[in-house]
Amino acid sequence: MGILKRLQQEIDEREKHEGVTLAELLDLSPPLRRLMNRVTRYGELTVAQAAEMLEETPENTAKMLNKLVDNGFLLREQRAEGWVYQVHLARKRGTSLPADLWTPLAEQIESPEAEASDSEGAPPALDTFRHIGEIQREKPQDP
Amino acid sequence: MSKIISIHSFRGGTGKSNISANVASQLAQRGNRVGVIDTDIQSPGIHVLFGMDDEQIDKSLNDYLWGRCKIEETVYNVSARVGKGEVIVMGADIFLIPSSIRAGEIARVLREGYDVSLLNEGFRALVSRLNLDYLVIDTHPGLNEETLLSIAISDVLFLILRPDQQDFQGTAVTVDVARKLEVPNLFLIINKALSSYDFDELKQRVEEIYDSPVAAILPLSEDVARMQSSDIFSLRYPDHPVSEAIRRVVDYVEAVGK
Repeated sequence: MGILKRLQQEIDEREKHEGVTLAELLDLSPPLRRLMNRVTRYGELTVAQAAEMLEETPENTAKMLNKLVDNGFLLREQRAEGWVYQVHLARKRGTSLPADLWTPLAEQIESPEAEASDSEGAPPALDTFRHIGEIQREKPQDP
Repeated sequence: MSKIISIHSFRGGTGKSNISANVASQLAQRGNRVGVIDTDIQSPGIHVLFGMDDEQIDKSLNDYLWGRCKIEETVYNVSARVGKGEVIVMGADIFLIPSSIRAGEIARVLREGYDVSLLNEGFRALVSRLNLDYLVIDTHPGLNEETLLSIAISDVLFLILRPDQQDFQGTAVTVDVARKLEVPNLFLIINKALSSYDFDELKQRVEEIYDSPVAAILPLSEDVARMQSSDIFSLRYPDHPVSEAIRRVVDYVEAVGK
């Protein structure tokens, strides 16, 4: 089986989705990953550039690139120089961490004590670290 | 030709932000236009090294990722802040693109995610619109989407490790990922090496383990710790062994593409 057929088969076997994650990119076969690496690194790729890389005809390469578009890996744009392909990166999913996880930190920063300390010229955290500095200075020096 | 430099480590606390800020500042001092972007959205910190705090940051990378502003609006020229603007005459401009330190912003980006394509476009837009010679990306430790993206688009990747078993194993994973993503120039930086070590032997052994060159070994330094990230160490103390090591890292950066 030729390289192009193998790559097309690999693309077919992958689930169609909205964009590719970089983690998925690591999981691709080396030739397909090389192609995706290149389009990610340089931002875009023409059919001619991809064909040269894969050592394939422009017609076969265009078929494969269009298949990657269909599967959500690439985006395609018509320009004066022809079709240009760009990586279609998937949106980073959020976590299921509780929404108020950082609330205590925000409250601490915005507390009246913190504001009072602020008005004296130093944020509370920095104040604490200055204190640590003083403790260190009081320690005897190592011989 | 502009270069994108990522400074990364598998584990936290290796000195990534400190080395990023120092490398960027040394590059700027050599006459380059340099951008520094904090992609450590979960735990941002490099702004501290450039003397900025929450109140001085109006718009951040988070605002750009939420579509509230253009990437240019998140850029701060920190040249005057570097080296406290006292004794340092910068050769060129240095720009910082901070991540938000506001708890609500951090929580939101973690909770809702963001458009990674926008981050990718943002990197490219910064390089071209600010006419940068170098864009230095300070990353989040470990491997997540923004880290993988920064590795994937980097011309130069520096992986920082400490001489520690946990760092050694994690770095092996990252080196493997970097190879799969075909980073053209991968270098290791050993940080916080005990002065009792034989640096030449350490360098040789690490290079053998990872089959990658070690750009520099930075000695463990109380002087760096004492500064508490309040300034750019290599500008304040240019003759210190840590500063000499930083300049060796910068030599590697400048040698790429020549």
